[in-house]
Amino acid sequence: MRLPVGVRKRKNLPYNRAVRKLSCLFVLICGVSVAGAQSSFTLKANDRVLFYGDSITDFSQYPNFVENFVLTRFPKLPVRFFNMGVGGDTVNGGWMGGIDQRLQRDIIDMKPTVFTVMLGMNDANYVPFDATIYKTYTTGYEKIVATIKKQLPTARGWLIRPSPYDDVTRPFDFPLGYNSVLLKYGTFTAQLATRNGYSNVDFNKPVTDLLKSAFASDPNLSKEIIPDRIHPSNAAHYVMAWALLKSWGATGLISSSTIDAATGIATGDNVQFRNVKGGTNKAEWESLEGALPFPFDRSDPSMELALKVTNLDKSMNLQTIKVPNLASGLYALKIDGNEVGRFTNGAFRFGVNIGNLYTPMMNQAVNVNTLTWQRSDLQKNWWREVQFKYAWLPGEGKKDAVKGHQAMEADFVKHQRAAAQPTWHRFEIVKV
Amino acid sequence: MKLVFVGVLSLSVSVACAQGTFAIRNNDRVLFYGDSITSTSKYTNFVETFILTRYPKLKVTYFNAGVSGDTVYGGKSGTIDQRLARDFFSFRPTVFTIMLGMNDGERRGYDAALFASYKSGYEKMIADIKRKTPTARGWLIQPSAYDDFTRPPVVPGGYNSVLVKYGQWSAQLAERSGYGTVDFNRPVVNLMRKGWMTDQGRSHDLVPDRIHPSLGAHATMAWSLLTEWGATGQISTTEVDSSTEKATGVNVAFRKLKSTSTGISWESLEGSLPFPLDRNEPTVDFAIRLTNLDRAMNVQTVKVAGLRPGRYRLKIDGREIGQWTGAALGLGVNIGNLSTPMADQAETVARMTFERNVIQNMWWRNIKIRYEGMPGEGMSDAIAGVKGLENDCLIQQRLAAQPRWHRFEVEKV
Repeated sequence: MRLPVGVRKRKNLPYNRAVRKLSCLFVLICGVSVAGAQSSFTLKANDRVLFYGDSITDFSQYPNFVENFVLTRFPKLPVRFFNMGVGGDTVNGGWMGGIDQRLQRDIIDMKPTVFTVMLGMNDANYVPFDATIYKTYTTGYEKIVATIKKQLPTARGWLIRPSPYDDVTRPFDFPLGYNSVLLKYGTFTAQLATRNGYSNVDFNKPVTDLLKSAFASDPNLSKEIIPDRIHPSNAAHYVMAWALLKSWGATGLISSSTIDAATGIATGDNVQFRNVKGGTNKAEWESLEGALPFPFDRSDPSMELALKVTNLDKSMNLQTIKVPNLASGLYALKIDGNEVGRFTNGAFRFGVNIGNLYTPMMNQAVNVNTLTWQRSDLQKNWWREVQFKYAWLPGEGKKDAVKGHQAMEADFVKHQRAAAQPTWHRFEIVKV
Repeated sequence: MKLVFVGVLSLSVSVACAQGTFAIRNNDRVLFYGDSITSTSKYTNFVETFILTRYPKLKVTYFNAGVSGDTVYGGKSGTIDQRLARDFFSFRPTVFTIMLGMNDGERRGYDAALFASYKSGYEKMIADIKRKTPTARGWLIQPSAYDDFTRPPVVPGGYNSVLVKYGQWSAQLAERSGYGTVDFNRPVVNLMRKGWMTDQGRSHDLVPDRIHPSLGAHATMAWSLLTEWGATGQISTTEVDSSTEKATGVNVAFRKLKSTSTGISWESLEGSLPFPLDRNEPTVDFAIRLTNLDRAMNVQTVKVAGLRPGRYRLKIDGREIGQWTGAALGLGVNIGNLSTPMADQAETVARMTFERNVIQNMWWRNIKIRYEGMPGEGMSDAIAGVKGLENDCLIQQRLAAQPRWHRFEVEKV
């Protein structure tokens, strides 16, 4: 396992101080690297992150996955998220308003400090490359970026190369295929970003790569990754979220714990320990990690396929338990009294990754995920189902309804953060 | 020009009269309780739109408390005690309807234990309601039909025979408890039977999954409840005489009546709007053809005496509504189901009713029930805010339902 080096030695950041206040027997390297991880991550305390786009954003998976990752990986970092995606939208707007109205109401008035834009799937109109259509896209996009730059000069932006049209698991609709058109559009967005001092993230290549490896493994099931060739399923959204998070400086590190069974000494990264005891064929300790694992919804068969061909879960969730000097044999790892897995002393010597097992920490992260979707529903509700939908209705009620929803959303932001705070857990390794 | 106000008197009299015999009164709070058939809000929206358009001066508030899958013991949104406390008593209804049974009988053959459980649960509900809302007027609805009629029954004897048994018992419970009863089963059965005789293929669409009635079936259910409440099809009756330049009517006032060289013209303000039945919806269209529901619900008669023989067109606000012979107009024509400015207006009311129901579900189903038990003050702000929005919508519904003066012209073609 490789951890980011050179970012571990920062001290005296708020999280570090907070962690030190907690009573514990063994407070070692932990805390230091948490601060390090946070400082190398793009998002800062009190950032307002806004996702703008078409139906692929509107469907909310990658925005909510990103939000849930940030909550669980950086539980002390207060950040707000807003999803302003509208199905069918182009650079000229759509059914929720022309681009001028969309920009004003859905970006500028929301005062984001960080924004992402993904547009192009609908712009290119599902036809072969057409210079006129392309011109409309480039002109419209230039205008969007110019307006944001002027109105929100300090906001940090990421322009996303649009996720692919599935030309991999099914034959082209026309020579070269629609995705070749999207690739051209994506190249333009990358250039536009660079010219304007914004960053760029590619959603096309990682999803295309996923489609290719999935197709090689199971041609039929691979069609389910983008069932209608346009709207990615969860599997592809996880890949997209991870692409964005990586470009923001996120890593897979949850925590890394080493407990020497011979000496009873614990060391770790993003974790602190207490009540550590070693032994020849056992070890036990309590730990408080600085992050939670990120939960994947594995219910969908295409997700299983995606995990098989990408190792996405392993790259996003690294939560290593290393226990050298156990006597040879098979051991059960228990957390809070429940067995989460069985491993040999050899496996423990090299370190086992519990980041994708059904642990109490994973359960906790699933609860955070539920709250994230509820918060996101509440935001959609005030924005679309009240503010937009009842704009025609005379009276003050709609304002109160929006405000009430926003107050409730703010409560949910608190619930999310409270639910994401790691707690002490008791680990036991016993011979079976 | 001569102004004729003959009808003004009859207007106020007959409006008062119509309202006097109708079960729903000013400031009533009407609650519909039930399972998925209620929660889809189709018959309840029809009833609400009908009352708004037929009695536009009545101020009535509605609450749909249906939860899909529910039985007399409650369901996914809480036990019956939670359901009644949160979804019934807190609304403080003055009028309520209950339809339960479709899920209680479990869509199996008759089972004495299930029936006993339905009876004891329902009796407990009613005892609770009687104790907590002693003055509320209630109607227990005999559950709408299970489709054993356009398709072969799935259980021996058919599941609907079980529902009929449940329904008959609920009618006895109503009588014992001093409540009214309405039968939603028989009208839907009749509809399916007529449908099967007329067009077997389409008849399956009347209750497509055998359980949940189509929009057309819901319209007949709504009309059953409304007629039980004393509603009639009467919108207005207009009688004008071109030779005497006199107008009389029921539930309508007149002005500017004038004979012309080719006919007669006048302005009228009716006390009601026609009820909008959307014939573009296939099952509504089918139900109308099977039952003449439109003619039963919408009687808006225009009778023009003293016309010379010939063919006449009727225009309202400049729009041609139809053509009739002088003789037909002399006998009276029903414009209640034609495309008139009043029908357009009623459609607007129906759309607003739909929206009000959506907004009610926003605070009740999507906030209050969904997030029950969540800490924080925000939820009560959200509920209060959306209730404010619902009230704004209610104001617009009532405004939209107020009849307006319209100019009628009868002229020779």
